[in-house]
Amino acid sequence: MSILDIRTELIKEFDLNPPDLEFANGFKSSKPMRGLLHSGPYDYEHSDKRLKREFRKIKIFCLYPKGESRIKKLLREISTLLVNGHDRRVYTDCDFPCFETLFKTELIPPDSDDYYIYTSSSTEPRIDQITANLAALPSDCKPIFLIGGRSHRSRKEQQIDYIFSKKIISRNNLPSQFMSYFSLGGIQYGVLTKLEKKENVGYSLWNIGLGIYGKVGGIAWTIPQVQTGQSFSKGVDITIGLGFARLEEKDSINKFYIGCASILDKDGRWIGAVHINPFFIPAETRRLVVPQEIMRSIIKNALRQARKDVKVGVALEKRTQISLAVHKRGYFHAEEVIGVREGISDIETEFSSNQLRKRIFYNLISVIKHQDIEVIDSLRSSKNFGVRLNTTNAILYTGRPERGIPPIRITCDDLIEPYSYFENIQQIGTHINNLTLLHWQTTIPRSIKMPASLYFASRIAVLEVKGIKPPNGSPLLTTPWFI
Amino acid sequence: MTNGETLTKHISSNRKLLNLVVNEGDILTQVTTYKIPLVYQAIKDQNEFAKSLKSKGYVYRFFQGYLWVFPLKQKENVVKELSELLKKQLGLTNEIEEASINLMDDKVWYPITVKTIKDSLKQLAYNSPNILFQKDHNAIELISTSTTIYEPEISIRVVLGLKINGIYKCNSNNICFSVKEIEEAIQLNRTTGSYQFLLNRREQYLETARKYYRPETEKECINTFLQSHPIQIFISKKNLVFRQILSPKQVKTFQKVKGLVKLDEFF
Repeated sequence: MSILDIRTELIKEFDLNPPDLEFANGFKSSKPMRGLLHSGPYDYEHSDKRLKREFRKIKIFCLYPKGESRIKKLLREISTLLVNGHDRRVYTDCDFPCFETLFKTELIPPDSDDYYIYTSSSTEPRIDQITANLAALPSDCKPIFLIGGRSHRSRKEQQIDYIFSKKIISRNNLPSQFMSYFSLGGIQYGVLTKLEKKENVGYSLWNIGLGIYGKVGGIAWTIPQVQTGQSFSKGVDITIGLGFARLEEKDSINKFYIGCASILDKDGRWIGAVHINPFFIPAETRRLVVPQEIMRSIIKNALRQARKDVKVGVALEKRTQISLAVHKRGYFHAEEVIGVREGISDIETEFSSNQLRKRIFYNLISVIKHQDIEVIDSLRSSKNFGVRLNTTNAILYTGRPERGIPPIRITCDDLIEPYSYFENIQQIGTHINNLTLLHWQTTIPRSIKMPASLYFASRIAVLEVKGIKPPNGSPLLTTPWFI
Repeated sequence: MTNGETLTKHISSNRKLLNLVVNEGDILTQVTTYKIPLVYQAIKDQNEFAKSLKSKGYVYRFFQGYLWVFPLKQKENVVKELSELLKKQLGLTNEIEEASINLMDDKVWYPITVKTIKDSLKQLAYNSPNILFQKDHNAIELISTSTTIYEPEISIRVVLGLKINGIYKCNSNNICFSVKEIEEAIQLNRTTGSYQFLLNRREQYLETARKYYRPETEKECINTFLQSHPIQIFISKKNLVFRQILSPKQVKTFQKVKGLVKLDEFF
C-alpha cells in the first residue's frame, strides 16, 4: 500500500480549468442546458458517419406496479410533459422545452395499450406481447420503458420495485428509465410524487430527458481534448475504470466480489464494459485485492473490446503509440499492478505485427473518494482546483467547493517510469476532472465528483450484484443502460 | 487584532491553506521501544495486563511476534517495571529488550506508528483536565471544556473542539494531522464536578450557538483551539508538539531548516 508522504515544500494549488462540453455542430458550452438548447446533442447530424446516431424517433412504453392506477396516471402525465414541454410556475423551477427541441428526436407518447403491469413476484409482464409491439417499430425508432415504482434507488430497504422491474426489462434487452413514487417524512423524493403534489419538476424533466437519450444510445455531449490556460489536458486514447461490488454471501466466510471495467475513448465516449466473473478473496485478506490473473484478463479483454470499436479501432490500427489510463477506487495492490503490466505486455504483442510494433504508455491512477485532507474555507472557492501534496498525490475539488462538496484524492506512483504517459500529477488532475463532466446523469454542471470511468464501473457492478444485467451479447451493452 | 481585521487579511492574501497541523517538536526516527516476545493470542483474555499497562502510562502494539511498548512519561527502570507487570499479571518471565525503532519506516507506519499516536492522543485527553475525548468512527475528537462559544445555562456550555481525522507522514521524517473544527455541547456533572457530553437537546444548543457565535474562518477556530491547548505528546523521550495550522510561511520555513522549528520563526 502506498503511504502518503506530504511534502510541505511541494504543496501548490493548480487550476483544473474544466473544458467546455461539445454539442452538435461543434458548439461549446460549460452548461449542458445551454448547449442542448442552442445546438442539440453531440451526435445529431454528426459529420463523422461512425458517430452519427442511428435513430430519429423514440417510442415510450410504460410499466407500472399492479393495483397502482395512480402511478399509471402519473406516467401518462409525465410522458405528456416530456413530449409537449413544461412551463415553470415559480422562480425556483425551470422551463423544459419539449424533448424534440432539446434532443432533435421525435418522442412518441405511449398509446393506451402500451402500458404494462408488473408485480413484485415471479410473474413477469406479458413479455411476448411487448416483443410483438416492439417488432412493429420502424428501424429508426428506439423503444424506452418508463417504469413507475413505489421505491427509490437511494434507499436500500425500499428497492423492491426498482430491482424487480429493472431485472425484467434489462433481461429482455430493453432500455428503461425508472421514476419513483416515493416520499419520506413529508419530503417528496420521487419525481412522480412531486408531479402529484404539483411541486417543481422542471429540473427532473431535464434529467429524465437526458437519461432517456443516453439509454437509447445517444451521446448528449463529449469533452474535446483541448489546451486551456496553463493546464494542458492530455488526451488519453483509452480509459479503463475498475469498479467492484461485494456479493452478499452470508454463509461463506470468504468474500465474493463481482466487478466491471468501463471503457471510454479519447473524447470520453462510452465504448463498453467488460464484466468480471465473481471471484473470492480469503477471509483473512482485509481489503479487496484483485488476483493477478483476473486483473491481467480484465485489461486484455478491455483493450480487445476497445479495438473492436468503430472509431478507436481504426486509430489503434494506424498508430504505434497508444496511451492508456487505468482508474481504480482505492490503492492498487502490488499484485494488481503486476496483473495490469502483464495484461498490457500481452496486448502489445497481440496488437503488433512484423511491420508495426505497438507500444502502450500507461498510468495506474488511484482515486480516493472519501478522504480528509481539505482546503480550509473551501466554500469561498467557486471554481474547480487541485492542490498538489507531493509529486505523486493531489487533492482535487472536482465537484462544487462552494456547495461544500469535499475533494477527492488521486495517487499515481508510476509517473517516473519509462512507460508513464503523464508527466506530472497536475496533468492527471485535469484528466480526472474532465471525466467528471461525462456522467450524463444530470444537466446541472459539476454536481458529480467522481470520474465517469469509475462511476459507470461501480454502478454496473452494484446493479449486477442485484441481478440487473443484460444478457451477454445484448445490444444494450453498447449503450450506457445503467445511468 | 480584531476578528474583522483577521478576516480581511485572510481574504486579501488569497492563499489556500490545507487543514494540516504539522509536528513542530522532535522527529520519530530513533525512538526507544521495549520489545517483549509475546503474541496477542497469548494474552487476549487477560484484560488486567492491558489495563495495568495503560494505567502506568504505556502504549503498546503487537507486531511480528513482539509486544512493542512505549512509555508516555519520563520513566526510570522501565525494564524492571515491565518485568514485574509481566510476572504479576501473566506469570511470564520473558526477556525485555530495549531497542531503537524508526517509526517513520513504511513497514511499521500503519501497524505501530499510527496506532501508537492515536493511543497517545487518547491518553493525552484522559490526563488533561480541560479536554474531553470522544471517538467518531476513525477520527479522534478533542473537546476543550474551557473555550466557551455559548453558555445557555450555568451548567451547560457549547465549546470548541478539534477533530483529528488522519495521521500522515510529512517531509519523510515528520508527522502531521488533518484536522477539522467542531463544536460540542457539554454539561457539568454536579456529582463528579467534571464535564460530560450532552446528549439530550444537543442539536438544539448547537443550532442556537451558531446564531451567537460566528467564527471568522475555520483557520481561526483551529488555531484558537491549538493556542489554548497545544497538543503535546510524549512518546519514549520524544516530544511532539502541534500548535498551529500549516501556513504558507511555515511551508517555506520547513524547506530551510528540515527538522525542528521554533514557534517564534512563524510570527
